[in-house]
Amino acid sequence: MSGFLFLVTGLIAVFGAGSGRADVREIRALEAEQKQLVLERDALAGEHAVLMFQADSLSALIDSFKLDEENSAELQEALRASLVLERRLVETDHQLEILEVKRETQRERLRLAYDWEVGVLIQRVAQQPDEGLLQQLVIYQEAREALGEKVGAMGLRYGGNMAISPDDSPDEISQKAELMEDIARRLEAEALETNQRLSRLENEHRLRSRVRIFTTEIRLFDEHLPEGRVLSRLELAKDNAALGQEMAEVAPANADALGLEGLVEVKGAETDLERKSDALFESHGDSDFSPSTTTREVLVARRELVRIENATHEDLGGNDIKLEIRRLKAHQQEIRHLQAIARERAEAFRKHLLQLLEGNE
Amino acid sequence: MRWGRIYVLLGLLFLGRPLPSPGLQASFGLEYDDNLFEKIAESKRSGWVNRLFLSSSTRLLETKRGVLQLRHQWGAKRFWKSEEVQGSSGDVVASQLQIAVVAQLHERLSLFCDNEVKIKNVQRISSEESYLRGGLKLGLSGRLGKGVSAELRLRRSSDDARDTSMVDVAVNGLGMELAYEYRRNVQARLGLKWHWIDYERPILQMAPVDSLDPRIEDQADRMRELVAGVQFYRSILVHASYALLENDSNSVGFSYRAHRLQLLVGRNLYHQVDGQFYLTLQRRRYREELPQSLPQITAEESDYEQMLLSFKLSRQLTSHYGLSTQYKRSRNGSRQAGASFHKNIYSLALDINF
Repeated sequence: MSGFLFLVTGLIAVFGAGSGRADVREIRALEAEQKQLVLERDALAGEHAVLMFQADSLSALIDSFKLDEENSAELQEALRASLVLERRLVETDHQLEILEVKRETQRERLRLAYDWEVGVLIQRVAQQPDEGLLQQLVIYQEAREALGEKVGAMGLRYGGNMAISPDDSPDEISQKAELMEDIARRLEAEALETNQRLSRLENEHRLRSRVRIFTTEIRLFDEHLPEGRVLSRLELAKDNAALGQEMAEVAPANADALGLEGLVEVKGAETDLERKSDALFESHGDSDFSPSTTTREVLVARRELVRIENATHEDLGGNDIKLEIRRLKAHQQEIRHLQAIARERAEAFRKHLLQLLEGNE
Repeated sequence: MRWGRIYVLLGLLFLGRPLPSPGLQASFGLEYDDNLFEKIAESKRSGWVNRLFLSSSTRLLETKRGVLQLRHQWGAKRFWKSEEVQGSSGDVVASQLQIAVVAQLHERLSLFCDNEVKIKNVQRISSEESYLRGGLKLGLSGRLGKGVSAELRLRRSSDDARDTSMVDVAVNGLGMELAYEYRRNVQARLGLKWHWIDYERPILQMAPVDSLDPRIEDQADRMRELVAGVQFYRSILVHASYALLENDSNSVGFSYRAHRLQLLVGRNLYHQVDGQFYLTLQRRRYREELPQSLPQITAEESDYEQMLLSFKLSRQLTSHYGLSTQYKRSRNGSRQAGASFHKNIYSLALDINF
């Protein structure tokens, strides 16, 4: 990241676009200026269209005058008016061109301001994750992407150091070519580093997604939950005399239906249940359980899934990774553009230098 | 009929171009389970199960001031074998819908709300439970300082049991959590939660004659949970947590103390192949000694244990399709000899990302 900022600073200095540390106010001011420039350009374009229409009409009038009488006063007046119109057309053309250059320069400053702010926000988010900062980061990244990827194009065309002037000596041209080659090399290193980081983040994101899906699936089917013991009364409406025999038949069936394996085992159930039943009656003494009653209860334990417990790994994070991946992809694209531009300029300078040297010979 | 529709859907998924639905993931698998109906060793039966799982997540609204997220999971399991000797095969269908809102109240403070509805419908499988759940989580999250944040949560949920062997449960909860993040890759959390759990079943009460006497009052449990966890990522993702649970109940035989340990590890093994390991261990010990004159419950039945272990390998085949294979082993129930079930599951699944 610091490498990228260094490069951006270097390119600003080289291209003469001029931008320091941008803050939110600067971004807003630049956006307002952009809107104002667009309004001015639209007004000027409208004026230019009117002038063009007038010029066309005047041209048709002049042609008709020429057909009637070549040196008439009307024709002379029309020709003078035509000259005035032409001057005004040239002026509006020039103004439009200036406005377009201004607009592109402003866009470039806005791009750099967004890049700076995105960098600052990413650092802040990395130090201290915050939903608000993440949202702000997304908004800036989208605004930055909407501005397009023409970074440096204007600078290459208009920046003094990116073009060769007739006054440049072969040494100066050579220095400029070396500067461009150096920038291209740095960009290549930056691209490699970005690729590696992107690959690491994509791996991490994939892993987190897999783990999240895995835990979501087992939670949906309650496969992560433990079982616990539930004590409940099992009512047996049977005559006491036949109880010993009946329970051996009824209880295992009930136990099976209710999952009573913990207490009532199929194997040896008859003896075990009889013993437990007798003990229960003895223990209740003169309470509501009596050998003479026909409804008898036994206390049983059964297994039941504990539904109230949640897995603790509900949130494995990862939202900030998606943002970082998006940002790095945009950054990677920028680097590719810048690299292409720097290489193209270096090559152009070298060719020009060669031609210059061959011409001198 | 339902399965017919699922097969048509699957046909469309494989034959047609996947629909451009962001965040939708599907997994269609076949598994072999050596204890299909979670029975103890003597009566267990093995068999095959088809499994389908769909999960989608999308952000409906995303602004500087807040996020509105919708998450939906749907899953179905179809057993090839019936539990009864001459019965029909059973199935499990579960669906869960969650709507989460996060509102940024201040630079350092956010409010979140998570609303969920879950329904689980089980047909002819006695080891699974049918229920309908509605839940709401409400919380505040604040940044206290560099890397330190705190969270306060309120929870309310209600389970409407759809099985005769189950009871309705209402849960109210309050939770506090303190988190520390050292960069993005290392996180530590410490939380304390209180749960008020009300069951729709009468309590069991000690009677003077050392027996259990039923009362009209319903069972109400108060549970405290202390959770500590760490999460770490550096080419390997590790999530580990420990929880201590203390449950006090007004019903005899339901108060317990439990220890829960969870470990989740994910790692890229080699190109496009990821490995995952999941382990959860829990031991629950019922605190109250039941009257000795009640021989129905033995001391050994007061000790419960759960173990779930899973190892999964996933391979991404194309940008949309992946293949995964998994081994799961679980043990659940009382530590008393022969009172818990064990099962081994081997599965193969096709994973689809849309």
